[in-house]
Amino acid sequence: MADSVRDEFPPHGVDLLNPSPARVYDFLLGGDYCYETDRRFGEQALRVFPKLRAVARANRLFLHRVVRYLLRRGVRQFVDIGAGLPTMGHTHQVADVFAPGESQVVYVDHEPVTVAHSRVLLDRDGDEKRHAAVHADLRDPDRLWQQVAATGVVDLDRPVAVLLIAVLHLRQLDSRGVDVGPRAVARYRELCRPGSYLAISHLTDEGVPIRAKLAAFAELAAVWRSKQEVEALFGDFELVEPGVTWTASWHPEETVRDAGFAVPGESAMWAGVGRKV
Amino acid sequence: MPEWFQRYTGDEPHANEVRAWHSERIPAWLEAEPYTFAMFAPESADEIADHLRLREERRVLFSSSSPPRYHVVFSESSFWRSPGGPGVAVDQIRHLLGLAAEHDWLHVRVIPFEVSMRYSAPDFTLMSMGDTDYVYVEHLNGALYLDKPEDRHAYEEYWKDVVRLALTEAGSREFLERLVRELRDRMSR
Ligand SMILES: C[S@@+](CC[C@H](N)C(=O)[O-])C[C@H]1O[C@@H](n2cnc3c(N)ncnc32)[C@H](O)[C@@H]1O
Repeated sequence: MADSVRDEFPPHGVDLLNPSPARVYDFLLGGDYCYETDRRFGEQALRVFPKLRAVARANRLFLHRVVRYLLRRGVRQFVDIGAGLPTMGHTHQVADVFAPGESQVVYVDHEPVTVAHSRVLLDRDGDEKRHAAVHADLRDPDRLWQQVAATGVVDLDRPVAVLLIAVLHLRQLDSRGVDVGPRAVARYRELCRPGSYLAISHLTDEGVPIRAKLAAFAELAAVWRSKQEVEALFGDFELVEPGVTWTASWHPEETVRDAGFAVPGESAMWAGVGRKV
Repeated sequence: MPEWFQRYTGDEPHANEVRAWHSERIPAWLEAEPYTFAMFAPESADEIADHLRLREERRVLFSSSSPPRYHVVFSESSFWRSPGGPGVAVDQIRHLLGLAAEHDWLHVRVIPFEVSMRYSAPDFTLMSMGDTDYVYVEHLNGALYLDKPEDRHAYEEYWKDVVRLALTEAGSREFLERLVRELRDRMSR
């Protein structure tokens, strides 16, 4: 991607030369939205860290459990930021299985092909009154919030669940090269009403030496945060049980029978849900 | 969709048999997603979504309960002349191999570069409807529907050459799999 394009918030156009995080993740989940560049990148990464498929899967299943958990707690509005491609069950599909017709979901991504695929999927099995896909960038929280409000699908004056699943570990650089991820999250915490929830998952190398193994992959542009740093992302939100833990260990009773990890730390991602009081 | 294309797309699902020769390109209904994007370079999420929707429309045959027997012969050139470079060509070939493996009515064959041809004709499609047969020939700004017997005869004769020179289906599959490996090697270098 040319630097001028990288500076655009959000970027436009289709980048066919570089692997895209959304499509590499799709490759790891066994989806078919990925291109040759993504497959190559994914295959190389798998050679040095074969558990990566299980990592991606554990993360996606964490997302599914979060959605059901929040529905059980009465949440009906979801803002899914960095939503990615609709592989292995998209948020609105998981929600509609659990509570048919009850929830509203706005998907947000800054990668336009990803947004387009979400829209095409919504043409088929969405409800335009309850679902939308927005092309916006998380690094610009106020504008993103406006764009989400403009869909008319969610009412931002009422509590919402803000999902930031597997996105904040992708370096969120501003035009000066500063990672503004944490600052953006702080702004989302301010923007949402009390009673709102924030769900986060985030790559780390505290469980296994994944960072060292993937060090050669500059394109990965990952930030490896510690448990403490991930907890800090929740600010003054109250963490729900069991706090920040491994994706595979967060309410595992539902889906994680055998995640394929010898120890939960192999899931290489911290995960948690907090509530604004 | 341009008007001159409509009769063709309307007829396609009802045809008994379709035979197509492509010397330099991949027809829309067989395009891989990145191939389409490389060709049209859509910018906004809206434009991209429109291309995806149009792409679905062009792919109706794959969900038809009675698709025509479909024979497509490509010149090797169609794969090298890919918009977007070798990565997109690899995607395109894999996509095509996947479709041919999945749909037994779709027959894909290739004429490699090393096969000498008397003359490489521009792309055409022989449409056999049972009652009205015609040859569909696209040009840059429209298309011809040739239904005069002498025109059809000329194309039928040319088609005989095409199928005589093409690798078998199995041979074409192996050829394309080799081409994927070769393109991937080039990308690693
Ligand atoms: C690894 S995928 C995660 C998909 C999904 N949330 C999940 O966890 O299953 C990360 C997604 O975040 C998107 N993303 C990265 N940076 C972003 C930004 N600044 N604004 C919006 N989306 C972003 C990428 O395009 C990609 O689709």
